[in-house]
Amino acid sequence: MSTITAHGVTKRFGPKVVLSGVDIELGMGITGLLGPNGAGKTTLLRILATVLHPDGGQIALLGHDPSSAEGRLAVRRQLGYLPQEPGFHRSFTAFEFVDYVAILKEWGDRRSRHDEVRRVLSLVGLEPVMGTPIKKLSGGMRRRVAIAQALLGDPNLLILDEPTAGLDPEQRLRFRELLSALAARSTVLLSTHQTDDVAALCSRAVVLLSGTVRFDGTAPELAALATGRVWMQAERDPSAQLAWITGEGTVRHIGVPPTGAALVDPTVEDGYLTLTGATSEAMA
Amino acid sequence: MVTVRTDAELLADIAAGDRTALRDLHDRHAPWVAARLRRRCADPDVAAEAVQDTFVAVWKAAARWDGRGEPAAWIWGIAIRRLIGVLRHRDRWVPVASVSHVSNDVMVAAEEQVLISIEHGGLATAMAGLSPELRAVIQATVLDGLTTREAGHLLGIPAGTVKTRAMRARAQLRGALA
Amino acid sequence: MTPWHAPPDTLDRFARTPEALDDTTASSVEQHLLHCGACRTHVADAADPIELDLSWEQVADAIDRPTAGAAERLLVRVGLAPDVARVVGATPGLRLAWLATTAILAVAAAVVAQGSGSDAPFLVVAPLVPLGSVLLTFLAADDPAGEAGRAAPMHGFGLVMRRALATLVPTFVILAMASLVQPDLTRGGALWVLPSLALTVGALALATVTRITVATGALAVTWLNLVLAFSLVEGHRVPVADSPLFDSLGQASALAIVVVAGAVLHTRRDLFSALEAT
Repeated sequence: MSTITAHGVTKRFGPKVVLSGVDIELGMGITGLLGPNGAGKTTLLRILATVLHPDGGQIALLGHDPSSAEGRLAVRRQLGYLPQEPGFHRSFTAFEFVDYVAILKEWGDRRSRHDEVRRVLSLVGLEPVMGTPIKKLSGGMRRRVAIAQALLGDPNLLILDEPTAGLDPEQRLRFRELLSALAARSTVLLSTHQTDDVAALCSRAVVLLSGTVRFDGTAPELAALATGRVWMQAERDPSAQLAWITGEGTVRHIGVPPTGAALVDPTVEDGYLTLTGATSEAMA
Repeated sequence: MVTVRTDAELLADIAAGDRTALRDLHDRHAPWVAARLRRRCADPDVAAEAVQDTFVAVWKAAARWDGRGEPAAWIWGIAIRRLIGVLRHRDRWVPVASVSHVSNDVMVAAEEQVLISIEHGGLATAMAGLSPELRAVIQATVLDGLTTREAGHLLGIPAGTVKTRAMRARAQLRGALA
Repeated sequence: MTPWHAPPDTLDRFARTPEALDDTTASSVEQHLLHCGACRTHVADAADPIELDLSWEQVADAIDRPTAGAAERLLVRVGLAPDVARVVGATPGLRLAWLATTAILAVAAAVVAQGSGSDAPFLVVAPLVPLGSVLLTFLAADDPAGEAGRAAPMHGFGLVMRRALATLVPTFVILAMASLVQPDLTRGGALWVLPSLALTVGALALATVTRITVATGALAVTWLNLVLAFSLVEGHRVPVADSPLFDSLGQASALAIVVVAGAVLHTRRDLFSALEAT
């Protein structure tokens, strides 16, 4: 059963068309939303999080229609949302902020609410700094505070905009563990620039380019787009679409391989780069 | 591998806002503080409340510990005053039953008695020779370090009575130790 | 520091049944525990772990509890539910807005009460005061939860109404108190109520159509124009309290506006969230 269905979603800001007909259908599990900056990822996520109205299209979230107030309310009661820019007031302590959001999420009873706030802050490893004002926390910690509020109430629908931005590798690993545990009973849609997050975590991958969906499938399928197009060489081959020096000193290439090239298995990143058609000149 | 922090380190961390440090300090000290408080106040609920108030106070005041002396002594100073605070708030002069109650079923072994005397010199035996009321006053003013007024609050007697009893007790102890 | 340690079973007894120990032994143990971490650990190990956990839970709850500011405590005193008070008084900005509104009101009411011996100033100014409250409430409504709060159930209409009510209730109370010290009380005592309500509910209803500054501004200007227009009856200057604006027809009209604006507000309530989601 699909949790999120969207058909023909469009959105424009003034003359700029940001989303031009997005179709997606998602169910339980973790879906990664990839795409370059400006592709419309944040806009799409905001629309699905009922924070923004689309200009056109039909959307169903958890069986409800967010274009009506009742529908939005019903969705929001089962929703956890991590915005790209949380924009929370810095004078709050971590505990106070999450507690405040919990009130907005209709946790009236103080005792159970405080237990829940402590629970989500522990999940993201912020228990030692619960009483610290947010303005004194590092960027990664602030991100984790924002993640914590999204986890309140174990929502059925989790929409996370760049959740791992600013997290160090150990925190990202912990975050992956956290999400994997949730995936069994929730629908998670997260946007990220980190293709390795997608490879490690996501059962589905959706690539958004210039306001439309260009790929919708599993992570291995995305990687497979680059089958036979990735090879390693000691020196850089100028004819390749993309080439970069790896940590081992060899050069990884994406493009049309010359005969006899040492082909390697493509990663999700390779598939993504193939799809976006990024070139070395464009990335320079 | 978690390193074990000393009490002083815990207090420093608590002053910096580390909640896990308070938890560790609580788990280390709450049991003996609770026991010692229960010997000053018969109502276990009052004692429990005082213990909790103590650690909330530690959370707020950790920065004010001057780093000298035993952390445990500092904590006890807070605890005994919290107990008085709770007693006054509840407006119940719960009699300090434990002080007048001498355990009958516990026979202090001779060996233990000798060891205890070593700990306190002859004071211990001399103390044992005092009447329960006098002993309570000495315990409150000397051992717990309370002022005459605080001792009065704790024992449910006027401050003047505290003073008189303290003088009598000291006279008796001087006689016994002479 | 003496090498003497308290005997283990004495420590066990101290941990479990401290009252049962004789005073001498107990005093020794207590003094010793102030210096000896090892024996303290023994006592801790001998104590009931469940009691320890319960004790910690209470401590944790007390220190985690967000500190309620003075404004928040006041709101709770006035009868607001604690979480609504939290939502209204959560940040310095909100608290300031609420406090400023009530303070300005109190001062304005007192000043107007000084008056000129007539209740004219009061009757003219009183209905404008709640407009100011509504304006300040909305302006301070940059919700401290940021965008995350916009995806929460309690948002939009519910939140705005709670905040507006929290400001309007004390506003009307202060105005009522100020009306009691008006000179011409017998008649003028309640004349201000319906017009004030009409302007307030009207402003809220208009806020679903346009920006709050425009809504309150337009209504304030309209009100003043009405006062001016009705101050002349058949060419004569009429005292404000006697003007048609405040007579039974005027009051009935005000009431009608309250009802209509209320209905509009109710039907268009989902637009509060829509307005914010540009």
